[in-house]
Amino acid sequence: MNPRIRLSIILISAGFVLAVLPLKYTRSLGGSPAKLLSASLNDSLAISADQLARFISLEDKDIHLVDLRDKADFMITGIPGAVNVPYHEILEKDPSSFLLAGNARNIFYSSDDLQPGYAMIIAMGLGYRNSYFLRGGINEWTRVVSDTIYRGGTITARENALFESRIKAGRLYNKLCNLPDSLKIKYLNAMKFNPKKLDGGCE
Amino acid sequence: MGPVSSLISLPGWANMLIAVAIGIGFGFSLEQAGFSSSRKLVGMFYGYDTTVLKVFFTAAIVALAGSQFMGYLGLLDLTKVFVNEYYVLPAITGGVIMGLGFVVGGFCPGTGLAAISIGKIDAMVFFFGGLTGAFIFAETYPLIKGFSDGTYKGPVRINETLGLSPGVFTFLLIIAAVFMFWLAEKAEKRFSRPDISADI
Amino acid sequence: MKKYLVIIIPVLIIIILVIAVNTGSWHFRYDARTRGAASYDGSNIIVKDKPGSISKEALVLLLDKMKVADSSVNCRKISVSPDSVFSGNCITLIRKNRGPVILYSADRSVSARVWMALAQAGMKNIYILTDCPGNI
Repeated sequence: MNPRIRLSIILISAGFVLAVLPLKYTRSLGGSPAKLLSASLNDSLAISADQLARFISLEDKDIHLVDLRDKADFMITGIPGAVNVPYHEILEKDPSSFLLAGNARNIFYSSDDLQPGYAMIIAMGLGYRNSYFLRGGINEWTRVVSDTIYRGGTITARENALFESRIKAGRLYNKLCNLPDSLKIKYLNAMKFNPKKLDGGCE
Repeated sequence: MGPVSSLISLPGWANMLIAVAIGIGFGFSLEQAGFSSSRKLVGMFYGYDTTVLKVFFTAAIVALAGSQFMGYLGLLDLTKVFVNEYYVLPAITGGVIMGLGFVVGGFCPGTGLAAISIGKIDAMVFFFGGLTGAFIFAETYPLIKGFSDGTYKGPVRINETLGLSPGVFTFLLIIAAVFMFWLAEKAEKRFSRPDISADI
Repeated sequence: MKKYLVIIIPVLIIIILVIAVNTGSWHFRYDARTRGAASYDGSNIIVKDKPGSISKEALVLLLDKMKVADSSVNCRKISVSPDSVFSGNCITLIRKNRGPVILYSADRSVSARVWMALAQAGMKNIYILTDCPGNI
């Protein structure tokens, strides 16, 4: 058989297999599910409200908060420094436009722990192993940090340190929540970073 | 770099080294396929030698099918593959100018470099002409900026414009390619130039 | 026949690779968005005390040592550590179960992570059992 005819048959067969497959330009997770799940179940990946308050009060540049709620909820009660990526958009956007690689800690939060749990697996599967979540979500944050008050009496040094970081972070949070929408939008736009544009072609 | 970097993380210099190796391989393949001969290249326009069509179209459909399979097998993230931005009228105009240059000069940029590598003087002159054209484009860019940036459609994929899945489009393109190869064989018989074909 | 081997072998390799990708839980499947679609609208959530929410054919995986109240769960239950969900026995049970597979943990984030990992690995008919609807 003519080699050109053989090659044509192979290519047409390969094309037929491709036509049958449900192909899209879409993202898939990488790696082994078992290993990824095991890595994600590490207790150190759950950040408590107190830990987050400490990071915020110390203005830790290595933390990167991702709010998974809808924009309306985020505008009312977003934690200072967070970017808003509604959960259903996680796989639509380029992850490098809202997640940081390297030493940074990407901390997901929502109203509770379901969506951050999902988002962690997705982010880790897309190569962002530096993914964490805020245990208890915004509800726990509000209870522990935002609504914290000193009730009087003697407290230990450790309790005092916790209280100080809660107060500092809580003040920042309440200040942001109480901003008028126009100023809030300005502040939030300043927090955004532009997605890296792909380079290529003959330019 | 493609599937390799999805399996292991490569430093920037390693990616560059792989790119150099691929470039050398590409130039070597072009030269071995006879594309350093301007008579073989312009044969595509006169019909007596359609090797250019067969080689490049085969490369395109193998790359297309291969990249789709690699995307499906998780070896290549197709959302990260660069898609050229489409400017309708500038692309057509540029294509006409490039085609004219190709048939008059007997080379295109890649094959011109392959020919320079084996010491062809006409290829060197051709390349100098190309660089002159690029220089003129750069210097006159403010005058043609409006046209050059006009009719912008963004990074479009043909299958998305046609409303087809990538797999179906690939299959149809392969069928079209095989049909064109058959047509090309007919053209070679119809427009044969044994006096030229014997030498190349 | 020999002259057709040149054609048959590459095509067979392609078909075998496609079948391998579509079976087995040793890798994540294609198209993460479609795999995780149920998590966008909460259709993967079952509320515990809702009558009739759990069928008798269901298999409940208890991901921690909490016990589920018998009155609301009348089906097969097994305890499994979240780390071992992808072990041979557990995955075989999940695949072979006729009814839905329901994950339960007092810590919803554990159920969420296990659910997403299973869904992305191609498992279907997997749900999360929760005590209250909460914010799905």
